[in-house]
Amino acid sequence: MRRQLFPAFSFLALAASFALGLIGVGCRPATQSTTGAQAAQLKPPTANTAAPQPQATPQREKPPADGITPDWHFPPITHATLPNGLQLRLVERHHLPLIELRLVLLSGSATDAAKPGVAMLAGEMLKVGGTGVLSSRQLLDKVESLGSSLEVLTDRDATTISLAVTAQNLDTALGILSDLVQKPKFQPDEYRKLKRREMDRTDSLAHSDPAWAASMVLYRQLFELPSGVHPYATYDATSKEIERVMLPDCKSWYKQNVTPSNAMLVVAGDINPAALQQSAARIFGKWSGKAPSAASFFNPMPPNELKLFLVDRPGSTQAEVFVATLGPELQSEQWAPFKVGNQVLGGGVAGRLFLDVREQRSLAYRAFSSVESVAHGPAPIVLRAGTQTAKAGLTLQALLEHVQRMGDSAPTDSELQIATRYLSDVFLLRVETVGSLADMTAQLGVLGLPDDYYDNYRSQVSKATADQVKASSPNFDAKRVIVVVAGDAQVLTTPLSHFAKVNVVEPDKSFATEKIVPQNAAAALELQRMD
Amino acid sequence: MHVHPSPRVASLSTVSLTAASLVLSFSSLASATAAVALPTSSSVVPAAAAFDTSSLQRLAVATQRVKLDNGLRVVMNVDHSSPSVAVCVTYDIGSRNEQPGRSGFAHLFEHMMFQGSANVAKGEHFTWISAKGGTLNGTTSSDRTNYFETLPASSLALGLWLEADRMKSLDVSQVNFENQRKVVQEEYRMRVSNAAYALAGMKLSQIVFGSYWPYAHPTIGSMADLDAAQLDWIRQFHSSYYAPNNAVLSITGDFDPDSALQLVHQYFDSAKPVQIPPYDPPAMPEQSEAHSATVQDTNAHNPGLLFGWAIPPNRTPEHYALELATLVLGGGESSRLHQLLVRDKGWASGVSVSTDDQRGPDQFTLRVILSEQGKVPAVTSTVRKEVDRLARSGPTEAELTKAKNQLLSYFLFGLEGNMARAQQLGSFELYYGDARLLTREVDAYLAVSASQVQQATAKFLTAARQNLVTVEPVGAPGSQPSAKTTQPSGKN
Repeated sequence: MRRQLFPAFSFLALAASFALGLIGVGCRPATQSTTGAQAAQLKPPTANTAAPQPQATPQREKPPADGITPDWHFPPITHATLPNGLQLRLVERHHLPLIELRLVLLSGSATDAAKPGVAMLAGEMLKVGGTGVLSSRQLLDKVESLGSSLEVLTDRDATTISLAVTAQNLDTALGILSDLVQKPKFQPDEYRKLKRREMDRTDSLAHSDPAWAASMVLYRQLFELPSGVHPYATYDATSKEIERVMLPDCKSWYKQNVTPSNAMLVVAGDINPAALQQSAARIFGKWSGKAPSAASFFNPMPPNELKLFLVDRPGSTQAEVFVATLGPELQSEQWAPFKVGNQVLGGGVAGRLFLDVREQRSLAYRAFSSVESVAHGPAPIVLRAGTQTAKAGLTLQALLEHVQRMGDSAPTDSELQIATRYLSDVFLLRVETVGSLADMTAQLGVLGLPDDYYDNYRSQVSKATADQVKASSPNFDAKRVIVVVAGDAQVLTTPLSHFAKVNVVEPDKSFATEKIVPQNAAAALELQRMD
Repeated sequence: MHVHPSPRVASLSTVSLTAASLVLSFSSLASATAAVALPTSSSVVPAAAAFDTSSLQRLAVATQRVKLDNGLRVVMNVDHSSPSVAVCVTYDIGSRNEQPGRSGFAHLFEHMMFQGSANVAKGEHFTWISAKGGTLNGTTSSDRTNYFETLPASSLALGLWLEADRMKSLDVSQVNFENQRKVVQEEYRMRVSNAAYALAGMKLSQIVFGSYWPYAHPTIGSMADLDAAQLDWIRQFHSSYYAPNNAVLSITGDFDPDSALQLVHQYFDSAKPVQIPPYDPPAMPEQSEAHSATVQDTNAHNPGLLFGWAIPPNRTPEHYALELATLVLGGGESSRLHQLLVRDKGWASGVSVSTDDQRGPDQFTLRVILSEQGKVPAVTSTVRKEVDRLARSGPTEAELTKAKNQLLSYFLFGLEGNMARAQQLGSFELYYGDARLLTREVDAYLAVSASQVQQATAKFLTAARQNLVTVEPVGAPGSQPSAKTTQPSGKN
């Protein structure tokens, strides 16, 4: 049972571990993004980074030609709705006796309102606060005795309870999910313990996890409104915010949001629609409650200047550099070309960030960009690279050059071809597992997308032109971005002041701004290597 | 394979996060399930239904093995359920083969395999695979190095051709070598010097394996050794180890085995076998008294405790029993230590118990990250008491059934994806001489009794054989992590 510290070192880190993803409160992105890719013909923007390419031998053999690309469509989704409003969505797959279940509540951290952390705490209490006649321990024992595990994942737009079982245990699994949402006990002593664990978790992350700490600041800035707080501004609750959420707050969140008309049961695997509907009707039939009123979303404006935040990590050997802005909305015509643009920029190992910032400039092990799919309003795009402290200034400069280049010029033909083909055909690899089918189906429900979305998306990205890609990203302007660097402030304030005034943020003090250092365009970018 | 690290054990699960979805790490118990026909005693445990092992049998039936004249072992496993294929080449070279002073070189070399070969220029592995919608990576562990790509079924030939080209030739330049040295050093900073509890993990292996260099030193190596690595070592390494008779090629997914084998002959037959340098490990020292060390860690917020014991190699009877012990102690949120330390007492934020599943002597690791309320002495003695309790009384039947069901799930769900299957079949063929043995693993776990778990625990996880690394958070600005061994007793 391998669970070792470093099972293996890899050539590249998977995007999954890097993606800021769909986020959430105290949790990971719900689905694993794929490492993407595109074109090679990158001309390094500055002369000093141009490394000689190895000479190809005169009579280089050509790579073999392809066979015929398999015809591919996302499998059909069977829909049904119970009288109480609970939606059922099933994707059948019968090659293995497995079933993956996702009970999706269409309320995530965006419903936190004045109590950051409440959705996550309430969701977790369904699992750890006792259920029906079972204590939390008995419930977990029951689930794990099936060889399964129970997960509650809170992201911005949804709370997802996941279980996977062998086919013959479907009814048991449905019973567990039903009890979780209908019979939570919210035991006070369990809540007290949960809160303490969560405060401990966020205190630890603030200190130990540079990406988490940077993200706390990044989303606050990216979703800043002239007044009030945007529902997506909270990446995770701070320890102080968690402390303020009381058990009645969780119960009230539960009453409002955990209702059949606000929920969707997504099932993938070895089961047919009639059997599922019959079981679901029997097990979830008595669940009742109304849908919550819809939250209001005021669209944030893209950054109007380069705002720079330095999250202090004293003694840190690396600096994690993030650059972010806003893209189009998921439902807009610009979406597909924008995704192609992200792929060209840094969506994978054939992206400019990987091929230039890593493979030419040697500044980072990880250099990627990612777009987040959100249900409401403009989608964030985040560039990220981790570099030794001495090179933080150079790395930020490189990321900004790439942002600007996206805004100034269209991708090359080769870049476009690789990016579009990748985004279209990577779907052939994304449906290997029943769990992936369940996640992709659930995602459609959360984001309000039609069943044929994936097929249409593939066709749209394939048709995207270089000009559409350029036009899809009016916010690619290196002078108007949010920059967050997590690193050693004592050393980094000076090189970073080259770009803008530096807001130094203290993660151990609820991300308060400790000091502001004025811009100094003459400051040197590079420092001496420190390790 | 989908990976959902549990958010509640974030501080622990993140340590294996990046590699988790590459190696068939059964680590993030994802969402998984299965049940086996075994008696249960607790009223809470539902009647265990019969576990359907037909999918594993299908795996055995569908796996073909062929050996080329040049020694290349080929494993093919056909599964038409998804229109994709995975190609994996596993080389019998890992950090265990490194010489002192050259730590980290096998992994640095792995990076150079993406820098070009006779017919492939720098960058083209990425652009050509990506241009088909494919994904690729390579990983290095103590026991092996592997390279793999997943592609739409129509592009199998490209994957095979790319792998053959870099087996037969490597195009290395000083510029590319310096580039990848710096990239790997950033990887070191990301995973080790800028990560909480990472240095302590390395320290633990160092004291568990002592004079047994192959596993005592970390695969990522040391910064100083990476600085000292030389370009000409690369060519030497390629001609010594990167040969067909030192490798296994595995292909899984939606393909026709006859056509695939034809392509394999076309691309790989011209690869020349070489005399492989012998692997000659030292004797593993037997530990006679407990060791402990303290690591100061600027990245850690709370103290951590890492217990380690040397145990027999993977796939030995006692190893199967000890793997079940990892689950009883720390597998899932209903496990003994999670319930006691995280939930009941609130002394820990996470517990993780694992084996490394190495070919040679293995390591049993028990990690606890303390919470604000946890005190090092109390947690240390509680863990010791729990290990002793298992050594004395063994697991209950219900616990054993649960552990077996968890294991069956990991197999079933863990082998669902083509790439995971290609990697696992490749490793099994390389390590144990027959990829199909993978399908018999389940039987070996199911055969373990409660008293065997108890006996193996009593024999190996003793106080006298224990190694303990305590992580001491230090918050002083500018201070760097450092390790010191406080009781370097014994010959180890």
